[in-house]
This record gives sequence, C-alpha cells and structure tokens, in this order.
Amino acid sequence: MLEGPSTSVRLTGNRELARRLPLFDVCGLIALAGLVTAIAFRRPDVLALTTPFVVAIAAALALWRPVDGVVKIRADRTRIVEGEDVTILVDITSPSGIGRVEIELEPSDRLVAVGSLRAVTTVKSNSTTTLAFTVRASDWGVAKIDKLTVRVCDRFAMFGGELDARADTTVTIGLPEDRISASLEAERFRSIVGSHLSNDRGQGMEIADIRPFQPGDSTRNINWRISNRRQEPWVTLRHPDRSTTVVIIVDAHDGENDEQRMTQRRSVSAAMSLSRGHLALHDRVGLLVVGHTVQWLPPKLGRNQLFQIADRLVAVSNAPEASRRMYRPPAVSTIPNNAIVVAVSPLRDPLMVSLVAEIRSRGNPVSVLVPQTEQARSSRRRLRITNRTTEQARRLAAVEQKIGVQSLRERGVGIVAWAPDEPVITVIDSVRQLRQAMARGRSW
Amino acid sequence: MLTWHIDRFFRAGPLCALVTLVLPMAMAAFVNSQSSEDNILGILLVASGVIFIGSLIGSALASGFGAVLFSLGTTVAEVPVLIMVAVGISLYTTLVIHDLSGSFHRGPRVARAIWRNTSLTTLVVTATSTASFALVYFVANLTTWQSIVVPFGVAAIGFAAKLAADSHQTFGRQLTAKRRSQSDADNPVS
Repeated sequence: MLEGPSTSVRLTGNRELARRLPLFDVCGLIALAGLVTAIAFRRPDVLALTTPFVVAIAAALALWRPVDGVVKIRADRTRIVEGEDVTILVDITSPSGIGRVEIELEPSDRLVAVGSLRAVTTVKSNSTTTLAFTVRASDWGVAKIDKLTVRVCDRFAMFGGELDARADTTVTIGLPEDRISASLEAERFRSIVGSHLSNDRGQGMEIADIRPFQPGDSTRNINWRISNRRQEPWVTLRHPDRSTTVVIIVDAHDGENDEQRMTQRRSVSAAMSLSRGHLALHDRVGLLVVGHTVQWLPPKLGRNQLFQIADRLVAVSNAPEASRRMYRPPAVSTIPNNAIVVAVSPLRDPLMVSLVAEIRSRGNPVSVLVPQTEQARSSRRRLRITNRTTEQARRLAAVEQKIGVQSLRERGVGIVAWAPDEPVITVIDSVRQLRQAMARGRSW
Repeated sequence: MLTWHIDRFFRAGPLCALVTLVLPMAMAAFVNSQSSEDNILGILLVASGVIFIGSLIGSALASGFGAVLFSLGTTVAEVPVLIMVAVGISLYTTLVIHDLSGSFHRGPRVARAIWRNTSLTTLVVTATSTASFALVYFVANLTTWQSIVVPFGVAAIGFAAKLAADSHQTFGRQLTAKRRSQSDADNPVS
C-alpha cells in the first residue's frame, strides 16, 4: 500500500485560533454582575455564586498560551477500487499541547463516511495525536477531502478558534475487478481475442505452409509424418508470433445525467478490460480520450502502462462544469499506421463519428463498441412525460446517430452494439469475430 | 429503528444537553427546600429552562442569562452561605457541560482524555473557588464595609485617571504628527 502525500495545516501564529470564546464573555458578565450586586447590596454571600466564574477567568488568563502546532492529513492508500475502504489519518502535533481539538472532515461525493467524521481529542505537549477516519468509495473517479475543519480551545474553553482548510489528499477509485473482467489471464484472453499473426513465416505456433525440404531449412522443421508418406523430406512453416499495437479510443462525453454516467462507466470498464488483456499479451497499448477532455497516451508495453491507462480512465469521471467538446486530438497522425484501433463510444456526437472516419481513412483497422442504454432499448415502453421539444430533439439525435453509424459501416468500420446486460467478455469476442470477418473480406 | 433513536439520544451531545437541564432543576428543588420564601421554585425552574434552551440552540449567552436568573433567584431565596456556594459551583459546572454539548454535536468520537481533563479542571476550579470565597467571606465579616469598598473606589478612580491620561497623550501625539506632515508639504525645500 502506498501512502499518499500529506497536507499540512499550520496552527502556529494563526490569529483565528486566539480569539475570545463566548464562555469567557458569559463568565465575565456573571462575575461582574455578582461583584456589583455584592457591593451595592452589601451582601458578601452573593460572591459565593460568582467566585467559580472569577477563578475560571483568572486561571484562563494566567495559563493562556498561543496555539502552537501542525495538523497533517493523509490517506493510507492512494489507489483503491469501488466499494473498498480507505483510512484518512490526521496527525496533530503540538510542542506546548492543546487543551481540546475538534477535527471534522468533509469528503467529496465519491466517498461515503463509515462511522463519524468528527473527533474531539486533546494533545499533550511535545507529542502527536493521530486520528483515523474511515471512508468508503461509492463511485469511481478521483475523490478527495474537500474540507478539513479544525477547532481548538484551551482547557477552560475560554480562548480558541476555528479554521477551515482544503486538503490536497486525493484517492483514485477504480472500477471493481469483477466488473472489469475476472478472466484477464493471458491464455483466456488469447482464446477470445486470438493471437496476432504476422504475415511473415518463422518460428511460431501457427502453421503457415508445408512444402518440400529446401537447402537452408532447419532439420527441426521436418514434418516426419508427411515426409514418410511422400518418401522425401517435407518441412512445416509457421507464422512467427508478433506483438501488435492497439489504440483504444474512449469517448468521454458529458456525464451529467444518470444515463450518460452509466454509459461512461461502461466505456471505461471496456477500455480497461481491453487494455489489461492486450498488455498481458505483450501488445503495445495506447489510449486516446476525447470528449470533455483530450488525453493521449502513446502505445507502450508493460505494467506501468496499465497504471497510466487506469489513471487516465479514472480521470474521465471528473467532467468539468462547463461542457466542452474536444474531439480533435493533437495529431491523428500520432496513431501508428499499423495500429488496431478500438473505439468505445455511443457515437452520439458527429465529431466523434468524423474522428473515427478520419482514422479509418488513414488505413487503420477500426472497430467501434457502441454501449446501448436501457432508454434506447425500451423507448417504446417509456412513459411520455417529456415535452414535445425534448422528444423531437431526442428523435433527431437518434437519426443522426444512425446516419453516422451507417456512414462508418460503409467505410469499413466494424460496429458492435453492446447491450446493457451483456458482459464485456462477450463483446470483446464479438469484436474479434468482426475483425476476422473484416480481414477476410477486406478490400484495402 | 428504535436502537438508532436510542443511540442518537445517548450520544454525548444530547446527554450533556440533558444534564444542563437536570442539574439546575435538582439544585432548584434543593434551594426551594431550604428556603422559606415564596415563589422561588418558579423562578429557578424558569432559569433552568432558559439554560437548557441555551444548550439546545448552542447559545452561551442564553445559558449565561439563565445562570444570572438562577443566581438572582438564589439570592432572593435567602438560603445559607454553604448552599449558595453549592449553587455557584453547580452553575459553573452546568456552563462547562453546556460547552461540551456544543463540541459533541453530531456524534463525534470523544477521547477519554477530554472527560478526564474537563473533570480535573472543574474540580480544581471548584476547590480553588471554595477556598477563595472562604477567605473573602472571613475577611468581609471581620472588617467594616467601608474598609472593603473604599480601596476598590480609590483604585477605580486611579485607573480611570490613568486611562484618561493615556488617551490624552495618544491624541496629542496624533495631532502633532498631523501638523508636522502638513508643514513638510507646505515647505518642501528645507
């Protein structure tokens, strides 16, 4: 577990924490009223009622020291998955001690409190008090602690104050393993996606050709069964195993309503599944995120690339308040010519359709996973509670989408519809079959 | 659901607020039992209610007003000095618990050291105030009233004179500084 960076809040010298608290004023008023009454009515026994308040004020004034200390907030893990708990640790250090400290956390919406997020404690001089708060990740994305409130007072509760601070502590919440795909071992993924065969002939597992022995052939390639039948040496030629380059395009369209957020979530889970599987097969995988943000990750190998892809995909969940539509990556030419491109997009935006068409026109084999929604499938059963304008706009958008899909099909782009209840493995298999069909019947 | 309500009720914050009602009411009953004056219990119970309302709304001023009202009722009740000492200590303890109830709202985790420190502080203040009052009361009964009031009066007059002199000095410095800057502006070349 990697601990995240900590945020420090300095208490020393903060004038907000050296204020007079209401209890001091109340005690002062009671003491003054008692003293005046005792003198005015010549009744020293009235002082019995006010002496505790006088003593408390005198002691608070005599023993008051400026608040001196530091509050640090950190998370015990920076990377978790949905449904997991993470512990937020708050360390309070003070050379002179603090009578009473109240700590209150306010996490972002993606983190749900497990237990109370408020604590009251005391700090002894030259010591550190650590408070632990547990929160649970309720939704994927980048979560953080929005606000940290610190209230301090002396042991008489007469002097103190409150300050609010923003913490830079962030936690990356990924999609849970069982949704991404439980079967991402290389062999099983290979059985779904298939091996990437090179047109060359060399050392490999797949048989490319069988021909008579020629000078220069290795004797290890002799096919003894056929040689016995033909009474002359024959050799088996195989395709060499080669890794390939895969570029995954994720359409990070706006995630304002529930339907869009669900589509975004499925897109990210599919992209993560594809990335993990291809990287396990030692393919180079790149990532292009378009929509409300543009992010380009060049194709690379290895586990570190998987973490980079996961970070970029999680950041997709943080849609900005103002909707921006950026479907123009820095340069489409940065996508390698030999790369297989798999896009995950509902193809609602014409800009996304044109981007896919442009990539296809450069000669890259392109497949598109189109996540469908419940609303699209059950449109006939939906109650007509929306106004006419919204309904017409929705129909127009559906027609535009169909036109876009048709235009892409005509350009040779494989379109695979992904139903809401369909597991991602099945869809990946459909993509593989489509690519094979396209390879057999391709005209480029 | 019932256990949720029970849990919320018995959290530290609501319990402390309840104590700020129960403790003054108990003292009100005690004072009334020791007093021969009429209509004392009503004043004291009203004061207890005001303190409790102050705890509920988180207003130290409201609770302080209730404490003043309680003190006034106790003074009118003409009870023995020891009972007045007990009332004074209970009022201070009530205000301390009122402050705690404010810190404990929304069910925080409370460290045991908080209870320990608060109890210790309250005990020390109680003991110190009792000893201090005993000394003051003893001295007050030995001497004449004038010998207590006159020194206070002289000190007050002297303090008022000092404040006036300091104010006069500060005002004079401000006036002098203003005149000097204006003369510099009138004669830039010197």
